[in-house]
Amino acid sequence: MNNTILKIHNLRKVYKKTKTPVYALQDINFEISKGQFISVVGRSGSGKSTLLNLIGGLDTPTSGGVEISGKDLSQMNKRELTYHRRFTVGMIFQSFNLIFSLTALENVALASMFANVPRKKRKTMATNILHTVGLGERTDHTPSELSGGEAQRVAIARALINNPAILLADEPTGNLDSITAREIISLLQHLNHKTGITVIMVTHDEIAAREISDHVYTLLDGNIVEHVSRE
Amino acid sequence: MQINDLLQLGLSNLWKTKLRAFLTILGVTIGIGALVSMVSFGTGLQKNVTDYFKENDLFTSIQIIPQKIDLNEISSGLQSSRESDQKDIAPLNAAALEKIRSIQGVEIAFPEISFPVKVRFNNRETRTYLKGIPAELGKHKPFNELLAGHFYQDDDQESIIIDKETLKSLGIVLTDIVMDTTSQKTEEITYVSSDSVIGKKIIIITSVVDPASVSDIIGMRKTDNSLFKEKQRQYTIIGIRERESEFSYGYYRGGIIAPIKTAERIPRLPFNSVWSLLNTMDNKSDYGALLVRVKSADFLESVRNEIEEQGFGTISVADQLEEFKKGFIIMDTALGAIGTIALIVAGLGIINTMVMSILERTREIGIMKAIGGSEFQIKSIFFFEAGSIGVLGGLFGLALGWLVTKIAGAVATYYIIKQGGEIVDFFYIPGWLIVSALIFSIVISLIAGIYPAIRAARINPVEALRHD
Repeated sequence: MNNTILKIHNLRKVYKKTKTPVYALQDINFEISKGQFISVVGRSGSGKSTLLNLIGGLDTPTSGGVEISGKDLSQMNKRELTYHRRFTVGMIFQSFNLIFSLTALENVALASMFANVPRKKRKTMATNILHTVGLGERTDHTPSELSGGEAQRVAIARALINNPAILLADEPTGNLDSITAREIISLLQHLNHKTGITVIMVTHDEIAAREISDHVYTLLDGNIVEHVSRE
Repeated sequence: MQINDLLQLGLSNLWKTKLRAFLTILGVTIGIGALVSMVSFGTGLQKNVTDYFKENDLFTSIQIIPQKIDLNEISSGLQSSRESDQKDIAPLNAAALEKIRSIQGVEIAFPEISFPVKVRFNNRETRTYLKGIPAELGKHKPFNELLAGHFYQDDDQESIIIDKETLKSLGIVLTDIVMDTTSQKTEEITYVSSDSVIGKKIIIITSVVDPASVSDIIGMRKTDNSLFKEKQRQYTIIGIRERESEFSYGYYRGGIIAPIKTAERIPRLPFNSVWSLLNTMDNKSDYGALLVRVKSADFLESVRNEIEEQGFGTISVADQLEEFKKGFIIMDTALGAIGTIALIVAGLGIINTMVMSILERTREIGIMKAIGGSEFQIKSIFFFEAGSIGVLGGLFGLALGWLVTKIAGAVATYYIIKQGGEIVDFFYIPGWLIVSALIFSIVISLIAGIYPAIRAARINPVEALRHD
C-alpha cells in the first residue's frame, strides 16, 4: 500500500525580480510518508521557507512539482489552492502571525470561519483545541497578553482546527527561549504521535531536529546537501 | 462565512481605527445629510402644492370649452388659426350639458356664469366678479368651509356669499376672523363682527347695453347718453368665505358667489369672457363654458376623455400640476446633484481609508490567505467594511438631514410669522427619500470599496507575510 503523502520532484524556484536571477530551490526531490516527522535544516537563505511556502500552496514553483496525496499543486486553480491551504495543510510561523485585534479563541476560530463552520460549532472546536494545546484558560486573551510560547500554541491550535493532513512549521521556535522552544517541539512531537499528523518543520536547531525527526534534510543554496534518516 | 461574521469583522476593524473611521463616516454623513436636506426641500415644496390641490378638491374640477385647445395651432400663427376656423365646433348647449351630466363619474355639471359687478355696501363701492354656483356644490370644498354664515340651499334665492377680501375692499374688517390688515389702505375701516354682516343687504350693480343709446347710434342721432347703463339689485349676505387661490383657474373664484339661477337673472352684458364672446360670434352655443365636478379624482381622466370625444375642449387644474411637477423634477435633480457631489467626495474618502487600511493590514491579509481564506472571502471582508461605512454614514446622514431640515424650517417659519405669513413646512422627507438615500449611501460605499477589496484579495500571501 502506497503510504506517500508528499512527493516533491525536480522542484525549482527561481526569483527573477532583479537582473540576476536568484535560485532559491534547485531540483529538489524527496518523498514523505504519512505520519512522519520531517525536519529541514540549513542556514538563512538556503531555501527552507521557500520549500515550505511551495508545499503550503502559498507560492508556485518555477518548474517541477509538489504532489500531495497524488494531487499536483501546480495543476490546481486558485480555488483548489485555497482548499489545499484550508483543509490539507496547517501552517505555523516563527513570528506566530496571529491577528492582534482578535482573542486567542477568535484567532483559532478564524481558520474554521473560512471553512464555513457554523459559529457555535467553531467556538466549541476552538475551545477544545485550545485545551489540547494547554491554553484552556487563555481563550479570551489577545496575542499581546500572551507569552511567546502561548502565542505559538495558539498558532498551532489555529493550524490544527480544520484537521489537516500536514502541519508545516516554519521555524516555530525561532522567537522563543530554549525552554519554551523545547516545550513547543515536544508539543509538535506529541501531536505527531497522538494524531498521526505529518509534520514538516523548518528549523535552525539541527540537534533537536536529529533527535525527534524521522528524516532530516539539509539545504544549502537551494540544494539538498544531506539527508539523514532515523531508519 | 456568514453575514454576521462579516459584520463582526467589519465593525471590529472600523473600531480599531476609530478616528479614521469616524472621519470617513462623517464624510458620508455630511454627503447624505446634504442630499436629504436638499431633496427634502424640493419634495417639501412639491408636497405643499400637491396637498393644496388635494385639500381644495381641485382634482375633481373640469372646465369645458366649445373647442379643443391645440397649443401648437395657437403658437403656429394665422394660417393654422384659419384652418381651425374651418373645423366644425360642437355647440355647448343644453343638450350637450345633459349629455355631459349623463357621463359616468360626473357629479355636477353646470354652465359657467361669471361676470364683472360693482358692489355697494357700507357706503363704499368696489369691483369684483360674481359667480353663479349651484346650491348642490355647497356640500363640497371650498363652499363647505365658510368663515361665517351658511351656503344657500336653493338655486333661486336672493342671497349671496361674499369673500373676506371683497369685504375688506368695502372697508369692513371682521373682528372675529383673522385678517391681514398690513396692506390696508388709509381709507376708513370699520371693525365689526361677522354676525353684523350676515343678513345685511348688499347692492350688486351691473352694466347693460342701453337700447335707447344703441338706436341713437344706429340712427346717427346726437346723444349725450352712454352706450351702457347701470342696473342694481339688492341681495342678502348669508355667508362669508375665504378668497380662492390663483390655482383654482377661476372656476370658483369670485368676490361674490350667487345661486346659479339668481345669477342667470342678473341683467348684464351679453359677453363676459373670451369664450362667451367667441360663442356669441359662433351663435350655436348657449354657454361660454361649462363646469363639471367629478365624483372623485379617479374619474377625472375618463370623464375628460369622454367629453373630448364629444368634440369639446377641457381644462383641468391637474394640467397645471403636471407642469409644476416637471419643474419640481428639474429642481429635485439639481438639488440632488449637489448632494451627490458631496457623497462622491465622501466616496473618495472611503477609497482612501480602505487603501490605507489595506496597507496597514497587509500582513493580516497574508495570514488570512495562509490559513485558508479565499480571494472572495477577503474581498467580502473589505467590501463589507466599506458597506458598513455606507450604512453608518447613511443612518447618521439621515439624522443630520432631518436635523438640518428642522432647524432650517424653524428659522424660515420664524421669519415668515414675523412677516405676517402662514406657517409652511418647506421640507418634507418622504419614505422613498429615506430608503433611496440609505441605498445610495451603501451603493456609493460599495463602489468605493470595489478597488480596495480587489487590491486586498490580490495580495501575494508570501510577500504579505514578510510585511511589517
